[in-house]
Amino acid sequence: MKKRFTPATIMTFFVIGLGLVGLNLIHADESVIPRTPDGKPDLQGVWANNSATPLERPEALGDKESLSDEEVASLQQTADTLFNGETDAAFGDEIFNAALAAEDDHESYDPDTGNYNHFWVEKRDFDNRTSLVVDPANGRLPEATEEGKARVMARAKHVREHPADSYTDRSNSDRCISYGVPFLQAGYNGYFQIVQNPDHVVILQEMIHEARIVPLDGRPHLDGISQYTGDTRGRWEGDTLVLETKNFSPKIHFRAGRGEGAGISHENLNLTERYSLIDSDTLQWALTISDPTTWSADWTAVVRMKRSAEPIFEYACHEGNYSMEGILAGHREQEAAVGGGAGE
Amino acid sequence: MIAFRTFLKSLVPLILIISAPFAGAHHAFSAEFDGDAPVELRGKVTRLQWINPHAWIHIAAENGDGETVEWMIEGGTPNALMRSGINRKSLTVGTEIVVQGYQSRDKRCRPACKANGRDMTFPDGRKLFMGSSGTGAPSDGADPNE
Repeated sequence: MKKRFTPATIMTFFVIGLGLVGLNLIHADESVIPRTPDGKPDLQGVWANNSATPLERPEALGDKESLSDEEVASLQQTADTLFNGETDAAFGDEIFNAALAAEDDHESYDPDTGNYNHFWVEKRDFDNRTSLVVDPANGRLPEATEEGKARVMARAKHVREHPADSYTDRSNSDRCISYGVPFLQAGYNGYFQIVQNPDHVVILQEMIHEARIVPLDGRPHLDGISQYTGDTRGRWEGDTLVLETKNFSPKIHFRAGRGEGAGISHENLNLTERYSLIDSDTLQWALTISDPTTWSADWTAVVRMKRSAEPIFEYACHEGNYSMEGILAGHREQEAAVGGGAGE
Repeated sequence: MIAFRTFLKSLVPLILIISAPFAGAHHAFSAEFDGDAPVELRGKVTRLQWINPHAWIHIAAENGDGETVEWMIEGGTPNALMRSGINRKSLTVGTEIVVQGYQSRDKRCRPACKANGRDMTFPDGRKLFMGSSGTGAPSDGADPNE
């Protein structure tokens, strides 16, 4: 039977289309993206997330969704001048906020000892966007729930009271266990390698060499098993690779937001990722975070990654983590000094 | 353009209030190093550990008594520099450098004294790994000596 598009169907597509435009999603010219022999978009390669766009739109920018080309050039110039190696390294949203504030110098979030020089981290790219968050439309995260905020406060309290009693008091990243999924931090090993065949897609995350091997055959999620990187299942929706991840371990957390308004999500996180090529050298990564115990509404962020000619480098974290010994030994010495001991 | 810069300057107080870090380095340096123990070290590189999560540069620095003391200086992840063509061969053993930073909270100096590399330069003030001659780093044209 020949399929017919009724007015209602056409209207539905139109509304969906408007919604995608509202979410700031861009779709490629289908004729220019590379494809695998089975006709799927070929996402394979190394992709770099070095964008300077902050997760949330700075309140100072109000409802300004995009910057003019002149404004982008001005911010890039300010950042290039400021972060010329003289300053502390700047991470995450610090770059955009420092350029927006037209800082003359940059002091990191760790003012007691400073940080290492900025030449250790990647050069960041400014574009016209003012936030990665595209839903809610104001570019800012929905309010965290009381439960989500309470997790942040509880973690902060624990860190204050037990900064380094044991290695178990340190974060999963300090311990070289995992940076978790999704890893949104740009400019600091924000590189991903994708390998695919008709049955599976593999996403290798440089930080800290996490590899997700994702089946595309429709099999159900794991039952009763949780993992640090969750449990991911994938499918193609047209030219978009859709990955759904759940079953995160309660030992890992995903944190987003500012200060006391931040939320920490654990095992209740449901992550939906949509990967699509904008052109052969630009991969759009849209991710929707759903956890009603942590945020009052679902939210979506869109990251645009650039193809990298450089490989993923090994991040053999545990083997070289002299810092853990230094942190623990330093705190033991401080305790001994307070108690009058010898510091051994 | 000038109007936009003026607009940005007017936002500084507001931005400083709301700008909280979304992310950071592998670990906070203040967890490992003592903000009350600043050091300035000058010495020759004896070893370069181009490893994650942080690179370590070993130097033999003279203390005020004319003695040579081994120091390990903590830097950042080497991955970003490797993508710029800078590797562990880019800073050769024997090169003299100057380090400003803070000594570790643990001051036992075993197997060596430790400090963070808050600021690392050549004796003439040029930054390490910033296109300076002698490092093997790509030239950025900023150094007239290159």
